[in-house]
Amino acid sequence: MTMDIELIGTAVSLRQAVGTLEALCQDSGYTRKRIDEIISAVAEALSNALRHGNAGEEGRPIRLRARTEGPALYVEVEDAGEGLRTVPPLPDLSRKLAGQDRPTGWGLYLMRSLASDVSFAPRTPGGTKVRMRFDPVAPAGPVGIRLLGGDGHPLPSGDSVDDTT
Amino acid sequence: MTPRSDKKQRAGHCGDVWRATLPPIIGAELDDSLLSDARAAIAGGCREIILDFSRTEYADSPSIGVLILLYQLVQESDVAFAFARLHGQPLVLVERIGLDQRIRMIEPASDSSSNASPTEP
Repeated sequence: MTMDIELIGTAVSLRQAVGTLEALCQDSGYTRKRIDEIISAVAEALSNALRHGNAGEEGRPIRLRARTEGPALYVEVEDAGEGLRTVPPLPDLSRKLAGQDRPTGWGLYLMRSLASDVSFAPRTPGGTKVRMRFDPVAPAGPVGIRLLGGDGHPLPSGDSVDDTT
Repeated sequence: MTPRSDKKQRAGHCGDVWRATLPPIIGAELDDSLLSDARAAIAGGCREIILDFSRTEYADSPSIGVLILLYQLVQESDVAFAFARLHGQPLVLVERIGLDQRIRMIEPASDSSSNASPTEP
């Protein structure tokens, strides 16, 4: 199963793209729960691409690619932004509920919690590619984020983060 | 973003309980009326707020922010709070974030799976 869509970054087109991905996941035999998890994570990645990568400018292109490889699903989201320089800390629900932190800021956490692997890499000639791998079962907890260089290798120590321990 | 025909939640009073049925797709725009309606219900003497997710098939992360703000409101007001009939993709979000451990969950859906697409109203 593969899909490759370049969409104009509007909220409506993003939802339509997620709907297309959902249909393909159904055809690939994923459980309903896993499909809900996958579309949740991908929707957050697309939303981040629109809001942050493309600086909220509706109409700038976003690319969504997906393919299955064995039991895993690989999804890539590309935008025109600079990606992540550093990985923000995991959100603290208790602090948010107590009003000590802003209530928002869950998108990246959901991507890390629902995907089996998450990486950010620069795209040539410019922009960012977010890649997620979805194994048949979601991880028990949030995974680390791999920050990759242009050559696809991890950035020097200190820039790629596994803050899950 | 949200289909206009289903943008508003439906709310009803039954004694001390204010029950709001949320629309099929919820996002940041949930903030538009939910919090103000909840404040009005509390000011009117409501002692319990129930959010009914029976119609909700898709939620994004900004809607979680609105639910957290509502949680803060009910905590400040000493009002009981519950999610009813949460199922499918919205349930995935609530469970992964851990809100299901902090907010009472009632009337579980008999079928927790959902076949609706997030693009469908």
